[in-house]
Amino acid sequence: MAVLLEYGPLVLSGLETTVLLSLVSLLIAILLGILGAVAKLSRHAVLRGVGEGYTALVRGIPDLVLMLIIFFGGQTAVNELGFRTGLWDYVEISAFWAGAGTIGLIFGAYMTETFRGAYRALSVGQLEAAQAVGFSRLQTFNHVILPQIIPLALPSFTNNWLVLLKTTALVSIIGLQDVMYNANQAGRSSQEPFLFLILAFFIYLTLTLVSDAGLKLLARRYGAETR
Amino acid sequence: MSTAANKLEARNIHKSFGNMEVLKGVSLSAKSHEVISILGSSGSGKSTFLRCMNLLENPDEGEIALDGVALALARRKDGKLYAADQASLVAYRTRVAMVFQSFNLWSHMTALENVTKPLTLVLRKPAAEAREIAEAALSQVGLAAQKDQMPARLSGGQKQRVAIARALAMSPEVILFDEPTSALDPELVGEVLAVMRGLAEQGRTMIVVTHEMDFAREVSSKVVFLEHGQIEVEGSPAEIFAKPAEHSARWAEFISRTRN
Repeated sequence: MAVLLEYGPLVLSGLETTVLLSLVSLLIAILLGILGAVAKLSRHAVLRGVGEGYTALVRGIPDLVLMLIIFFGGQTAVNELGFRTGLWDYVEISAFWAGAGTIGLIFGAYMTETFRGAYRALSVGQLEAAQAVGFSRLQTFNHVILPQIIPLALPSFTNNWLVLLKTTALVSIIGLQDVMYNANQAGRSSQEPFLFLILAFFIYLTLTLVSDAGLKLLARRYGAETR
Repeated sequence: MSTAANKLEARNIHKSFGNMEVLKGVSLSAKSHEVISILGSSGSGKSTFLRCMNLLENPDEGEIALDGVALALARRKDGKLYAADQASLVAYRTRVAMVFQSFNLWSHMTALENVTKPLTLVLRKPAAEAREIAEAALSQVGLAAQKDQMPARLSGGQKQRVAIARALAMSPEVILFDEPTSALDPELVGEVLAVMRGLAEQGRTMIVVTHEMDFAREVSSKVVFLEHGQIEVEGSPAEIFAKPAEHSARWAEFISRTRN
């Protein structure tokens, strides 16, 4: 018990990084997801190709490989570019932004499919009716598309978010001091690895259960509105 | 070409889907208070023609004029004609309303909201005024009591009447109907046709693509029979229903087929 009291705060201090990283990654994923969906639904073949390429690439490569490539390879690429062009000196990509960028990039591809699927479930007729009464594109998006896409996308969105939250544990590999990293450190220092892994286990479980419950509540609210 | 008396006029509309030429130069004009029925077998191009009239389909060729004023069209890279500017298209669409075969109510809004939304967003009416207009329109189609229902809770006939109320509320000068009863169960067709007859009696200008021969014969002032993307027969119902074979063999055949 004394060990837990001694190292517990260290593990818990990783919570802030884990939560912040998850939220920033989610934001990036949502933005990329919207862009990806717009690209894939576009009339222009080039844009559709870019969207297809993005999702195919991300879904075909392990998360860990992408993360290491972006963290180490991205670092080298940025500095090589700076050196070649002489525009900037040595810069260091922080582990946080490399992690958030990678996770955002990966889940942006999944969000692309989520948003695209929800949009395709919308009836074309409802969009035509919006056109026929004279709605602008923005009005159609805000008043017809968005309110219907949210409940359609929410189940798949919730799933993506839960997987994203768990995927953040990978950033411990690039040295970011999240829950996983700190639990690992605490386990080594105290020579009680199992105890602190169990602690991490419950922290992640709590996070996912709480957010799952929150999103289900949101889904029920939207569900009630559409039915 | 265009006479001032024409409320809405479409001239020489051509439209192809890929290599298939669906409309081969169709012209139609509606005077104020006229009810025009467009008949034709499926694939004749009648719905496409109606959709071209409010640019839900973009024609390859042709002109559209409202009150003798042509809607400015511009050709885009895909070779089709689009409204030259969004503002005049919106203005045009507020004056020429559309009722669809599959109702196309917005499923996340109540009946009332379906009617008020275009009023507040497009015509910029204050909420209270929009509500008043919408309630009046809904009671005109006999649905005052159902105003707070979601579309999923309404029958097909009720949905179509809400869609008609949505069109009416905008105070359009012309209403286009695209097979308004074709998606309805037979027992629900009557209630929608009754509403449309009422509108015709009020002197509304209407262009109706339909399969309802009785409606065409009894309500419309002009009937147009479309075949293979061209107007085959055109005239008052009295003229062309009386001795169909004198007008066109295809028209006579179409009538005899729909009678059975």
